[in-house]
Amino acid sequence: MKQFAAKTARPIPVILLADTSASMSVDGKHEVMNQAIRDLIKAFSAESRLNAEIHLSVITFGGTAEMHLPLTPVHKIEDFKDFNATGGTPMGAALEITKGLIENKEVITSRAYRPVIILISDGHPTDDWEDSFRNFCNSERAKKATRMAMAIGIDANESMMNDFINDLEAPLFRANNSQDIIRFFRAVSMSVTSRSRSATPNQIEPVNYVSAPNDDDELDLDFD
Amino acid sequence: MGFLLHGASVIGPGHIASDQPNQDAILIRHWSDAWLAVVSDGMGSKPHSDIGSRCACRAVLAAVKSLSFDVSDKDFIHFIYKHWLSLLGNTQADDAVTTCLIAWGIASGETRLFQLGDGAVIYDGSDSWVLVSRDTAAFGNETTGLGASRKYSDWCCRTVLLDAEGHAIALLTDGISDDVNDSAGFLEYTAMQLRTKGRRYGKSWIRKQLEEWPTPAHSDDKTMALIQRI
Repeated sequence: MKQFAAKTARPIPVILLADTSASMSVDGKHEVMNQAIRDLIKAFSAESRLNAEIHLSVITFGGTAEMHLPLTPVHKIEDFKDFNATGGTPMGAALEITKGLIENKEVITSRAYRPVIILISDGHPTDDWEDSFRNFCNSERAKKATRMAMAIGIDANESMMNDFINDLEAPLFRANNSQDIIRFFRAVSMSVTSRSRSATPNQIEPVNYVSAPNDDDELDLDFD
Repeated sequence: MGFLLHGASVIGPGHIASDQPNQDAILIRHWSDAWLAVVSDGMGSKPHSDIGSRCACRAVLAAVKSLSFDVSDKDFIHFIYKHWLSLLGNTQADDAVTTCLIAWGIASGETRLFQLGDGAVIYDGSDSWVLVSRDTAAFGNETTGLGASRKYSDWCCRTVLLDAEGHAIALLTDGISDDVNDSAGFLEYTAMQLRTKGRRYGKSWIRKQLEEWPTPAHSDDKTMALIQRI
């Protein structure tokens, strides 16, 4: 009987849509995000995979929209390639790629637990995004996914990002500095890893945007 | 010619780790002129899903004992639902949501199949197929069941014939069906393995297979019933 059983665990797909337009280079926001994603991969990889296996995809939109990291089991991601911040904000094109990914039943099969889609942006889209946005939000599987968003700075299109999110437990997160970006990623990490440990991984865990520990608070004292 | 019925249920590693009971249930009955197999899978997020799944099996048994084989699909389902609600007693239906997969056959081989919610009913007879009741856009563990569904159209109903040796049907909860790559191969192999085994030995063979389920990170309870013509 065993020869007919799948040899891979049921995945929780996590899809990150990251704004990598030129404005993200101001104050090194893209560098903070690169590091935060690396930390996220590390945290996800440390999970036991007892109940589910976390898969991650990163779609970037800066100048052009592209699949920066195809959907991959996190424990198999050996090297996350940093992205640069350049060009406009083709968010509509990124949403098209995301819709294609989530609706692809061969890549995300019906075995998968409900995916998490995270949108991060610090500005207004520069392409014709409205139709793509509507198509994405109305697509059958995107409607069922948990959609979260982080608006960075005062120029982000908060109205659109508020329309993007669909989880009352995870309201739009506003980030004003790099510490806030880290806080957001830690909250995402805790929410997803709680699900992966749960006996019911489809159930959404509330997102708790706790303060990030202040590294400067540590006293450099050499004793046990 | 006759019928062989086998079945077993094992608790999933996820429920063992969280000290929860097996939320699947199974019922198999074989009379001189008919037989019945029911498997049900209580929805993991509900507090009394183990009660819901056991009551589903008992409700189907009561329906089969009370109704004639040619009862309409709708009347059969209505009876089961009403009886399930009464068996729940003080337990809220919403706290005991459960899937329900049924195979009810008579000596001629005529067999009625019903499915509400996820899992799979696999048939290999004059043709081969898997009864599909699930929304094709659904994700894992996203299902409906008694206590959640209120629509007749949520049920899949079909009548088939098991009229030749080797014809078989498997009822699987999603702990198995979601991980099976090749449904037809799975059914053929399992039926062949069980053909020479008595009920008790067959049950322990199925249990062993399910306890040693090879899919990494599998956590769900696993239950199957297999009926074959011999």
